[in-house]
Amino acid sequence: MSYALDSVEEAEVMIHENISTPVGFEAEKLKEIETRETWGLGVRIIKNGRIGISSTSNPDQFMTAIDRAIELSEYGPEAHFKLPSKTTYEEVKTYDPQIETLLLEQMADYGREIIAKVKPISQETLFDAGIQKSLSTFAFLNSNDVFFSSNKSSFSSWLSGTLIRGTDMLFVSESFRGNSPKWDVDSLISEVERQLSWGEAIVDSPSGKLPVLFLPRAVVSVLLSPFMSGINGKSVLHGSSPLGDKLETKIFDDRITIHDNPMLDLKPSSRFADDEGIKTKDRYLVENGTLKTILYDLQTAGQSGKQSTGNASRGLGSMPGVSNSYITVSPGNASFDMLLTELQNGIIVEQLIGMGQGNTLGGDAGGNILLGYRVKDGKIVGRIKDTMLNCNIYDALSNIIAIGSNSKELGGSMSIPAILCKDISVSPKINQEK
Amino acid sequence: MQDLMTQALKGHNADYLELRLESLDGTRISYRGKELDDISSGNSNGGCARAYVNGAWGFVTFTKTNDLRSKVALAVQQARLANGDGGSIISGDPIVSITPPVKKIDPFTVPLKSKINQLEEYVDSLWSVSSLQSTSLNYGDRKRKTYFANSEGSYIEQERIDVTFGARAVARKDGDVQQYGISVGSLGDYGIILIRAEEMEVISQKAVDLLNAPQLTGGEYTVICDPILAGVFAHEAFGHLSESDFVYENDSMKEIMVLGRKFGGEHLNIVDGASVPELRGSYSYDDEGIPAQKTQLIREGNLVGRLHSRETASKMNEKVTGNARAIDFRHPPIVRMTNTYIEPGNATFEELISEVKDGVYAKNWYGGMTSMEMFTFSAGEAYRIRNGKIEELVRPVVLSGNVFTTLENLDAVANDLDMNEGGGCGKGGQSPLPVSNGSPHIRIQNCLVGGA
Repeated sequence: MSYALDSVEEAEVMIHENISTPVGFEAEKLKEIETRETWGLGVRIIKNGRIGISSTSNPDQFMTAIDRAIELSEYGPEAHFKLPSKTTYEEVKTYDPQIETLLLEQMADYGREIIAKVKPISQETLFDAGIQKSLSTFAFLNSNDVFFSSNKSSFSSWLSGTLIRGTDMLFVSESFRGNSPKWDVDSLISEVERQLSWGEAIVDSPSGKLPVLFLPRAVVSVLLSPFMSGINGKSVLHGSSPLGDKLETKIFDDRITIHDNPMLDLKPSSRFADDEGIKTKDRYLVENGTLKTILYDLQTAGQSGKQSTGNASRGLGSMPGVSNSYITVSPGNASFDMLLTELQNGIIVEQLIGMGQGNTLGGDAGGNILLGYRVKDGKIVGRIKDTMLNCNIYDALSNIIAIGSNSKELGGSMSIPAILCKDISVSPKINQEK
Repeated sequence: MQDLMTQALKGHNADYLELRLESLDGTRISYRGKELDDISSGNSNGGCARAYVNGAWGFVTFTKTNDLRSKVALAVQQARLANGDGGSIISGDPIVSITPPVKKIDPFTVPLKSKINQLEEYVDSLWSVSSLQSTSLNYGDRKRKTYFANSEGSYIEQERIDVTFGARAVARKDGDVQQYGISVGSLGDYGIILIRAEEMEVISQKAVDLLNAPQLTGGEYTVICDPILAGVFAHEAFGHLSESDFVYENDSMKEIMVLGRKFGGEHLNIVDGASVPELRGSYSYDDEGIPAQKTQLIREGNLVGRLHSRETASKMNEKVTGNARAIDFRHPPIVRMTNTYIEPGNATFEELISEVKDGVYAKNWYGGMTSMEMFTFSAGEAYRIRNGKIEELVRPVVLSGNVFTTLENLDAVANDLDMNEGGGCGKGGQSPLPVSNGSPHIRIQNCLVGGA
């Protein structure tokens, strides 16, 4: 830091170190054990009011990285902010020492147990699985003496299955991620078993504007992703978000509340400071349908005349973007059976492919239904195929029939209920193959 | 380096061992609107060791490159711990090669100032069209120098420079937002950055025009794809199916992908090959030290080949094809495409169009994705075709369908092959991998087109 400060106004250095060990099962056999060690350093400096950034993976190249950042700053973007000054951070627990003593043998045995227990459910399905532990350290220092470091442990496990009959392919999967080891074969398996059983029979897809029940994974990939880009301060600044002028106005149904909390203990996405050293804060993104927050990092906030919301997230070698922490979409009061009854005739979607194409900036979302089911007279009758789903998420989340009362945790960073929306466009290919 | 690496590989007890050291350098420059948004440069060095013992792998990746021998030993120990149940991989001839990089105008010799000036000129040019909301411009160059050694006695040094450029304009009217853009790339040639001047205004104008374009009603259409979109189709819809790591352990997939199976008409010929020179997916040796080749995947409608690593080729008792690739030292090589394309046919583009009474001409692309059986890919630009003529511009469309039926429904291939070098491929957490794809104009009957 003192080397950098000889020639620049402000400087910031961060170091990220990680060691992770994935154990992978392919075609029901233990196939690969890996050790991945990474070390990286990122530098950001401000000289003559301009920003320079560089990174290296070599501790000996520290000075070179600073020199390069200084060199780049000549052409770099103008800085619209000052680096933050010293503050006190609150604690949040993201480290479980149990990870340290976890043996590769235990992880391998766990994988074998998952495979052994899932296989009898469907002999015809070929299963893959994986277990991974990792330990990482993040250290941050800026020229205003802001210093902190944090340790994070993580443990994840996943199970997926492929069932092929003729050229029909059914893909099922479930995963878990947390800070602590979790040995819960049954919950991994029961999800996969449910998907296999609902997907067993192939049926014709209905067509038209239909009620659609989005299961939690689809709520995130179809409905939440375009919203998250919409509240990105940079999109707002450049006018490519439909939400720029919508703060404190109603954008969704009253029942939609979305909360972001970076301070939950033992959640992998928790953090007490963002990647610019700004204290994080829990906040409503949407409260009872009203938009409450646009997310900002320092630079975008400066350009927009706003304050950073403590959501900066950056790779070592690039300008920060924004990201959320732990997202909770408030559950509703409908049990799954009630949702089916409300749905009556329509479809359930679990997974789509080909999202993020088309006019996503305007909130259009859709794709081909990779895993989805038809509901007839309130009963799941089978899996639908070769069917496109299209909607505008701002319309969809304003036209809600019901929200599920049970939430599912996804990726250790979200808690999401199922959401039943009406009038979603469903277009199957006309001559469906059976 | 050769001695150091060769020594580290000696005296371990494994069926196969490899060691790869890399040095990565790159610069990225991006503009959002009229302002420079990000400029950064990074360097990373590191390596990986991989061991194959009795059908299982141990893989170790590191950024501290001291004590290579212990990294190799750890990889062997992990492979042993995995306790495989037998298996073999194809062995290759020892190759010692120091391959010179492909360079035309080397981006690493172009001063930063010149790059900035060039990009700023393009930003101005994008903004010469009125009613734009926003623009983005991205430039990137990346040099990957690899040092590879294996237990067969091979030692290979290679260097690849990947150059990418993307420009996009966003137009807005009331609540409606439309965008249009291009994405290009090259193997070691900064020259592709220098020749884009005329395209910038066109990009902005198209984004504005889309605001007034009607939405196509979703349903089945006869679709003609331009070479860019058809190339994405070749990659997404068929290319991924021919990657043998999806097939080699799965008996049902083996049945689907049995050599000789008919996938399409006689006009359908698909190829993949890193030995096709000077494209973004070209190289001399893959990341398992196997020489690059050109593999015919479909000949006259029939499946005749597929893409292999050492392991998948051995398991399926077929020839290795040199398709094991890693994006960098943090990842093990897996079976990937290189340059994938549909070979040209005899028809002309005009003939393809003239036979369509009511259809869609889809051009350019946003992206694509496949789940093996199903695919989706999105066009950046689309027009109605009526009575053999291209008519009005419509909103961008998403094409989707079943791979097998769609290949059967591909009924005509034109003679105007063109390669698309924009974009990159993602698989198994390794993205973006430099690839190219291409095709002549193709025609697909009864193709599902998504409207809103």
